[in-house]
Amino acid sequence: MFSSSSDPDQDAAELLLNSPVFAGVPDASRRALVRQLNPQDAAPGETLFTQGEPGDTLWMVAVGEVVLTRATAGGDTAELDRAGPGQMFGELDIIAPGPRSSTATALAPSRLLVLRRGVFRQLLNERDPAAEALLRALTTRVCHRLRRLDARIALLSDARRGADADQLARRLAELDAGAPAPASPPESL
Amino acid sequence: MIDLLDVPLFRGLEPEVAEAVASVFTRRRLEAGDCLFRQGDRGDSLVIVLDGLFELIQDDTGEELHLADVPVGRILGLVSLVDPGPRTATLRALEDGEVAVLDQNTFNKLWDSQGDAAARLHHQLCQATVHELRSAERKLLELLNAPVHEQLPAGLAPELAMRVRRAILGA
Repeated sequence: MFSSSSDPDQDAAELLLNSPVFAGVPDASRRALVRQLNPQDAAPGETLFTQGEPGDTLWMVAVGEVVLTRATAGGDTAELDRAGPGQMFGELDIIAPGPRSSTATALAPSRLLVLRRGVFRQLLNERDPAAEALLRALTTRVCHRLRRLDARIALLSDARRGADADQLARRLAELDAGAPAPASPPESL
Repeated sequence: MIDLLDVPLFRGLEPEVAEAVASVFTRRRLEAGDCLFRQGDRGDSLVIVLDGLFELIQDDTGEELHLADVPVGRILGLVSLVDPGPRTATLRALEDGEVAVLDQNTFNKLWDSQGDAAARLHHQLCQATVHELRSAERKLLELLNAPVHEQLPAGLAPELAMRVRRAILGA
């Protein structure tokens, strides 16, 4: 017998409901948050949003993988971030809206759940436990990103100053040590 | 000399919430030449300069590198408060001054005693960190106005040059 392939929305909801981010959060609050999310599918190569356009939504990956990139004036494409199942992106825009700082592109067939800023703020104002847990996770994630970004800037600054191979190798080691893999718990939903 | 309540971080809070938050900060006076923390120290606190002038320096390469002046009102260590780790620079007083410090333990206790205040402060801190991240992204992109490979020192071993380039581009 074919076991009926489960409903992707149900899977996505389960993924969120069981995420360590919401440990200790009452079930009702978790479920209420999940009901506020809008599902969206993306094919590989599909652009979800483009650098420079206004945005105020948080995206969570239920299935698939998304890469966040930005074209540089120097002709390089800088990869800013990558998100797989259970991970999120767009956290800057839901916290403080502004032009999207990167372009989000699906790398695989993906199912995404979208949370709007207005909904999130309303839940935070009500001191909703799930929203607060999410904010804590977002803060941690923003801090990790900032730490990692600062380390990359330091590496490039050192290179521009003409640092020698030993100094650059040490900076690389610091960057590796301070940069958890994308799947590590602090960044996971 | 400024009042902690005049710092923008507090301006978005209702007066009674701001008072509650301000009261859990520790004040520390420093004399010119004193260091509040040193590069490599484990940091788990947020620091706000209330008086005097400070500087951030790096000295891990043997020679001292002045990174920035830190004037009154500046907030440091947002990341350390949420995600403790080694300080990336030393904070030294250029003249006698005073700072307000909030460590992670105190912040966590605030959640228990003054949940509303902690929640609001957390939201403000998160927003401030996002602004810092956005400006760091802008800085990196400015530095990337020229291709990375043209900015690396001449004569680097190709393997190291490739690793550095990939790390900078985040690939």
